[in-house]
Amino acid sequence: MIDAQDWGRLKELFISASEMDAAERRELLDGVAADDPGIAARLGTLLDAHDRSGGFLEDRVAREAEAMIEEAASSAWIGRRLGAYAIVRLLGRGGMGMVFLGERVDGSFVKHVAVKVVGAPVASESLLRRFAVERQTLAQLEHPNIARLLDGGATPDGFPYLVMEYVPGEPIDRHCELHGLDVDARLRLFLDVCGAVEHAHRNLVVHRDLKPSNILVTPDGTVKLLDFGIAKLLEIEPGGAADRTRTQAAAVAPGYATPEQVRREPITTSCDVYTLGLLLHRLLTGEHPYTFPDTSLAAAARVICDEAPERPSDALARRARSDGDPSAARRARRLRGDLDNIVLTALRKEPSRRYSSVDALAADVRRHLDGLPVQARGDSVAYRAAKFVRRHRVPVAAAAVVLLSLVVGIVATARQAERARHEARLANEQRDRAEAMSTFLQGMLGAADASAYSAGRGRGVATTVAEVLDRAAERAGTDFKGRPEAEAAIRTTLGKTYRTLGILDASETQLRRAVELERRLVGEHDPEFADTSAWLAATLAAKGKADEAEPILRDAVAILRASLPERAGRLAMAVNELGLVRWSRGDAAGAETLFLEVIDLTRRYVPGGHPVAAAALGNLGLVRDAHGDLDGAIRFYREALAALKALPESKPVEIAISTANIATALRLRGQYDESERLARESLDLFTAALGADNATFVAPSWTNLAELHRLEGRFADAEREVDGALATLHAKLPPEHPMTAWAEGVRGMILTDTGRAAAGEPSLRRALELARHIFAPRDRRTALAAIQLGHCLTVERKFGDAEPLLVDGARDLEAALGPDHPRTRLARTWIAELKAQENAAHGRSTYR
Amino acid sequence: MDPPAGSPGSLNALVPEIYDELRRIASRAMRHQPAGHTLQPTALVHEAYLRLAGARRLDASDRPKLLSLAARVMRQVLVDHARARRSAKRGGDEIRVTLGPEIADPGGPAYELVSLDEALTRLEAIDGRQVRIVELRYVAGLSVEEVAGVLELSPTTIKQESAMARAWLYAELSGESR
Repeated sequence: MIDAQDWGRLKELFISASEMDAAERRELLDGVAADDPGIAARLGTLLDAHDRSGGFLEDRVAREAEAMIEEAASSAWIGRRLGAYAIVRLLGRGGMGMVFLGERVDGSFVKHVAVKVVGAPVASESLLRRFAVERQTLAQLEHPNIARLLDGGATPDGFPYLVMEYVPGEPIDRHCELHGLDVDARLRLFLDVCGAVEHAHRNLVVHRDLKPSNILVTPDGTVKLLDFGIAKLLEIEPGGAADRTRTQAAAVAPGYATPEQVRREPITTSCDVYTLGLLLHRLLTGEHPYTFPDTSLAAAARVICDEAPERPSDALARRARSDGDPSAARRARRLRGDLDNIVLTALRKEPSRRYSSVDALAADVRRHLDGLPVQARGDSVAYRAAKFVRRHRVPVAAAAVVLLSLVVGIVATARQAERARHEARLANEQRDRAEAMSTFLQGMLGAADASAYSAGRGRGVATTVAEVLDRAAERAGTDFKGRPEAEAAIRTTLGKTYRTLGILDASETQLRRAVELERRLVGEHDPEFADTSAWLAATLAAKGKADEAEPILRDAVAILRASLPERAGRLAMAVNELGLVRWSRGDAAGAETLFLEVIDLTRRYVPGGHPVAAAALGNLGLVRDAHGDLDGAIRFYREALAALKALPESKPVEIAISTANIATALRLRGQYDESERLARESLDLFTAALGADNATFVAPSWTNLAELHRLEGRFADAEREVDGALATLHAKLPPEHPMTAWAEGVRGMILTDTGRAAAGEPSLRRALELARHIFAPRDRRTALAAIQLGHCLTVERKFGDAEPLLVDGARDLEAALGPDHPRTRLARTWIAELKAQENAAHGRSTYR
Repeated sequence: MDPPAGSPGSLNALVPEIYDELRRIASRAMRHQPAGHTLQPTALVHEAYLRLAGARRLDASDRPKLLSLAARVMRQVLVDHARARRSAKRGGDEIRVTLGPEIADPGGPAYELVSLDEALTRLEAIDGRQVRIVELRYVAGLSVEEVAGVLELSPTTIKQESAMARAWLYAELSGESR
């Protein structure tokens, strides 16, 4: 047994190691092993276990608790006779009741059966009707891959029951894993499932609840579909005719509900195409295509209706990265393309865009197995963008209510009720303050022409919202005369909204007025004042005025920190903003500390998390980026994306930012195809959210795309893109903005690359001048501008001017990003080119 | 099982009552709920707690102690049940079939919880606080914040301690044949 002192040491080491990545852990373990191998061994075991132990305690406890509850319920049934069968023991509980193992007792032969009994003593009318339907449905289905119905009836005391073929076997997904089946073997099993479902469809039966636990594989490898529990006759029902059915309060696990079930749309055979898509995804990857942020139904409804499913190959690639599993990487390559497209086609949100039938899906899988081209194609970018715009109109709340009615299995605990009350109280407080404001804004929005909101046809949402804001800003002064608190609040809101839309001058105006009002109301040391002034600083920072923003933020942070734990979320946001200001000025280390503080603050004081924590994760990626650690940067960006997607509210702009950052890092690594895909994705998101003429996000995204196309040699595209970006930037941002510097640099490089170096030189000089003005003297961005100009001058054969720029730039890049960063390598390449050209020139002149 | 250190005697007197209440709730849950409902252990503990707290008009300051106690008793109830299942199965020739989570083979191997309980008892000798945390968080299903409230520790400490306890228990139990 370990003694108290060693245990304390072990705990300390475990806590710090559990935060580390694999390399750091290795290092720590080695260090510990040097002076205490015993502790090191214990720590190693503990850390291994830590990585694998997620959920295991909950599972064990839950299993026993379930067993206890089952037993209490089932004991009355054991030994009873139902027709020719006797109940032996409980097998489990399904959506409609209990399932027992039964035995034939008439002596003719020993045969095991599964007996399904409606569990509740007072079965509801609708439940009884469903049961009757199931009996009729199952009786029609005779297929080797569908569990047969043998008998049915009712007990003397009125419990309906079904006797079914007993299927000893394991769920199809577990079968595949346990037997290590390869992709082809999994696809063949899947085709068997499709065959059975297709048979049911021909008999006008939709299964609607296809999931691995309803699909067993027997020891001899035969697939059996169980439990057409909520299947319903498609066309002809005993009592009348109805060509399409609507879902009732059916027991569907949220993970397996289809979008149309959530939206309460008609259920057709396409529903099974979708669930077969889910099944295929699971068989190929072992995972579900969606991540549900929490157990709430609203979240599940949103994910099912709005989120794009994860590409199967991406799921495996992700696992290959996190586990370092080479077989997952191999399998990811195998899935990329055809199988990705097949799964995603089956999983489309709109039934009409899926495979037209299960047969069509099966045919595509067969074509793939035969090495023939498949019919499935990925969604186009245009389609995804349009979809994004529509997404804002999906009534998520309504969908959640429907899902609530769909899903049985919810026990409201005292805890949940308590939480709901707490939230209601908070909401009340906020409502009082927000009421005046929202009434006002609603009045303004209501006044706007309704047709202006049919966004998505060329005209960005932002345009119309901006018009509304302008009108609101005009009227704020008069409407709130004599109510400075309300006026400050409305001006803060207007300022924030303008900022999001990238209309920075108006944002600054509104926020300055709000800050002024607050100053008069509460003075300069009040958290309310600090809060508002932090918003102003954020706008100033966005305008590139870091000098002015920084002191304001420092004061605001100090005041807000003193009022902890109140306004912890706002403090975290101000700290994040301060980190960004430090970062923009080249102080990566200072910025990193601040971003870590953001995460710590939200963890500590904001239960349930805060969007700014996701932003800070992304910003930590920026810091890694600034250090030249592209892999680390991408890891943080992806974490930020995951955190953003897990938030209950949708954050398209933030998601687009992280996506754009990943695209840039991939571009630097030379992965142009993937970079372009992501760059376009983020551009679509930005444009949909902010309008095509946005300067803060949309224009820089075009610049990034232009740079990518320049690198790929698509100069005409690149030039058009960067000119468009510059037009917006010049029109909307102050001239000394970092984004303008970057765009000028890209434009100059395009001209240089296309034999117009002399025309490019002024652009590059302008870029360098701006960078020197904005950033610290030896900042990597200044250095990049320097080597770009140096390269241009090389091309122009101005070798004397080029050399110091290239040499100093290379030195600064190496200091900032390390010797192996693509940009440092680029600088060295250009220096070599300069030398070669110089030599050639000299050679030629001596030759003459 | 000994009562947790620091619990006042008046609450310990409730142990048998909590035990009965948990079992009653479990069996009633099946009879009175529409089919398809699953009853979570969390709900069991909370329901037992609410009934007792309501019936006895307990002081709010007793809440943490009572919750701790309920978690302990819940552990005992489950272990007793698992032991009974295990001995019941020794005689029979068990045909095991796996039917997935929905039509689940009820309970899984019975020794799972017994061995977990034994490991917890070993952990008790090293770090009693971690055992309390495991009981509250994993047996009673309280959130990190709630456990922090009951034990008057920071949520960060609860997370760190429960991560270590979980890893230690996992390592202890990974040797068992499954």
